Amino acid sequence: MSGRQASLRDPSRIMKLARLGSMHQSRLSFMRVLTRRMACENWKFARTAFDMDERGTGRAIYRIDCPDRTYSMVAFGHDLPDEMRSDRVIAEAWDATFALLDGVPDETDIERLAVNVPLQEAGRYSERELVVSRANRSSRLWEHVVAALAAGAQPDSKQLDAVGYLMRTTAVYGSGKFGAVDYAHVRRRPEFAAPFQAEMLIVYLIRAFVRDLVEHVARCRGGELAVALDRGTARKLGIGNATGLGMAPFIVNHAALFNSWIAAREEAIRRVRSVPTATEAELAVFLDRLQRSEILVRNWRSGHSVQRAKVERLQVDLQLIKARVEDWPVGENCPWDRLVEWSEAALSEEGQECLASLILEPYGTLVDKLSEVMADPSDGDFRIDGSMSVAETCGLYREHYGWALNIDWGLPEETARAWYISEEKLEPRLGERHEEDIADFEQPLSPGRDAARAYADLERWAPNETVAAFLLKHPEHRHVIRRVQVCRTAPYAEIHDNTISATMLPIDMLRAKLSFFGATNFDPKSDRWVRIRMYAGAPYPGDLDSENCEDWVYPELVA
Amino acid sequence: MSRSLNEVETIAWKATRGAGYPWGIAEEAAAAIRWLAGRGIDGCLQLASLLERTDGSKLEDWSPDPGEVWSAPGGVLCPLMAGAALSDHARQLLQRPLEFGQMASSVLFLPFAGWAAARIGANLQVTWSGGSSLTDGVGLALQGDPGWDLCGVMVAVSGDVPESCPGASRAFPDPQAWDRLNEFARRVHAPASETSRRFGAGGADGIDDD
Repeated sequence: MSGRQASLRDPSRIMKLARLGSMHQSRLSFMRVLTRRMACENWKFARTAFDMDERGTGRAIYRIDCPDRTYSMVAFGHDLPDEMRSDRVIAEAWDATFALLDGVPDETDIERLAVNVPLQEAGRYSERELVVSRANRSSRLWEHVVAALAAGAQPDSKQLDAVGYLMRTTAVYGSGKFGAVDYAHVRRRPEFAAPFQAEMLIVYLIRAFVRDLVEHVARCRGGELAVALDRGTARKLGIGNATGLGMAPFIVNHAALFNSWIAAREEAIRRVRSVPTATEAELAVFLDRLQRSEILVRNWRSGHSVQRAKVERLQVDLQLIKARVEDWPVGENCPWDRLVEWSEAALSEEGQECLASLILEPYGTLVDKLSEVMADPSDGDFRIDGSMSVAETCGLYREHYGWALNIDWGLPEETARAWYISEEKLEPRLGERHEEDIADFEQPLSPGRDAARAYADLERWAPNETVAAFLLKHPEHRHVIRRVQVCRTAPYAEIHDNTISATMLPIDMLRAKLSFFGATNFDPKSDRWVRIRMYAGAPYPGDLDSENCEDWVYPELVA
Repeated sequence: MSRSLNEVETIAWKATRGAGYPWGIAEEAAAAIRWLAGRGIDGCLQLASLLERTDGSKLEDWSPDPGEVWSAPGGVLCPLMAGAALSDHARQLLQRPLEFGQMASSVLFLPFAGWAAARIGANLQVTWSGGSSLTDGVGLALQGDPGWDLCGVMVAVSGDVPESCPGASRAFPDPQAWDRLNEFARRVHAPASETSRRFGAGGADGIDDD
């Protein structure tokens, strides 16, 4: 045993947008944390009502029993005309709408939900509801699958692979939105201790509902002739999700929470890099996941030129990793550390992050418990320490915002964009500051520029003055004084890049967040919205067990 | 109608910013309204009144000047500005009580006393002409009318221990105050323009074809 402790990776490298935009799912992804828990705790799932007609209109209820509580998902099917099917958050009608609620709904609950859930944002929810969501059919695939099954045939696998899902969600609302229960109120339940677990649960159930619904509609159409969807085929299907700009500000607005996610994964990477020697069994797990990643990446299609180039390079990177670990002396000193070190010069950022996630795979005992520290214990509230000196504050700025202090904020291209919320859509937007009248409406989503402004003023103060005195005169810097103090104990809280520059890609911010959900197949549709798959490959309720709850992300090897 | 704590926090954040306060003070207002709601006190009415009162005026006039008595150049203190100052200068309370001059909508000041108490690890008593409050940072015991307005306020370390109050998980904001806050909140939204449509600010228009 060498006892060598690897270091954490430096935030100044990790928190760059290009790197965040190359993040991959891992053992700590929220979907995997949930499937692991559901399998280990032997959660029971039951479809307790399924009152749907031949067009997919009606309602269904799914019941989930976990060790201490029962939850229910209520689903409403609507059969939307094709021309109304929009992925925009601002849409007003969907093919199906859902609510996840505490306990078992009675008739009054169902009636209340039937009035509100189909309205989504325009509805009101109670403390009983944890999450509200909606989904649209893939118009391309839905009809094909229904027609095939109704005629007694399986759908064409090429078409299935090309889309990858039968429905995609366009919003999943939790955490007190529209009157639903606050996360703070349920976070002490073990099943919701890790972030976004209720949201991940509803998506998992939506996927089960979608399979049930497509088979039901096919049966209505084909009668005796109809067949069920092949289990293997169904398992490959995920739930699609279209994510737009609305999600990008989240990781800036929840800096301490974002730190918890990144810090947990970085600590996991550090632990594995500190492992003195790898056993044959551990190496075998790594090689298996590596091989299966090749299939995952080969099936990763994107119409976006930037992403396509990254995927092509990632395919090369996976081959390079494979060559590197062939005849690999696993008994050597800290093999994973050496492999990561090698990757930093040899692979693209996409490849490096894929590898960083892959090395965690054999080490559940070292890694998995870190999912318990991925929430923000202060729930977003952070009190400024007014007794901190100006000198110490300046030091913190130099340490955590050096990248921002080096930017010439007078150059128009460095402040080309402004984040704002439009009155028309009530959703976050990204505008051209120098060409539109939006600067007055700018959201506080440019910490780098604001830090540079605060630093310039701080430098004019005596070093031994306190932040409290400074803020009395400069309340305009309060938000970014808070941020720099957050960074003192949360070094991965801040994106180390200019979030308003002319060249910034919002999809990098989306990718960072969605990778922690556990999404795959990122397919940007522009620089500001992205399609993904969730739960592709996951066992359905009833099939989930401790054998298959972990590696479902990686497609099975075909013999 | 009951609201989630997240909802009252969000409207307070937007409304305070919409009324012209800096983002950092809007964050304080949001946390303050949530802190009060979590202890069964609706701060929305006081916040709406405060924002209407300070709207269009210079923030400096409402901000505290440190001294024997912390008072505002304009004559009336804003509880958000005074509260932020209290929270930032909490350690001074270990030496001596802090006295504040005439303050508007003072119930909004109480959360800051709570945070100051938590920071210095002491119980704090806030007294005014119509009553007092006691907090250890978690609990809040109120005596008298919490809706008082325009009087001086004293904050001092106290040996008394507040009884812990049961936490409230829902807020019940005054509906009219809610509407008034919504008016302020709307000000942070940019009106749609032809230019922004042309630039495709949202980026995902159109019907899905998949």
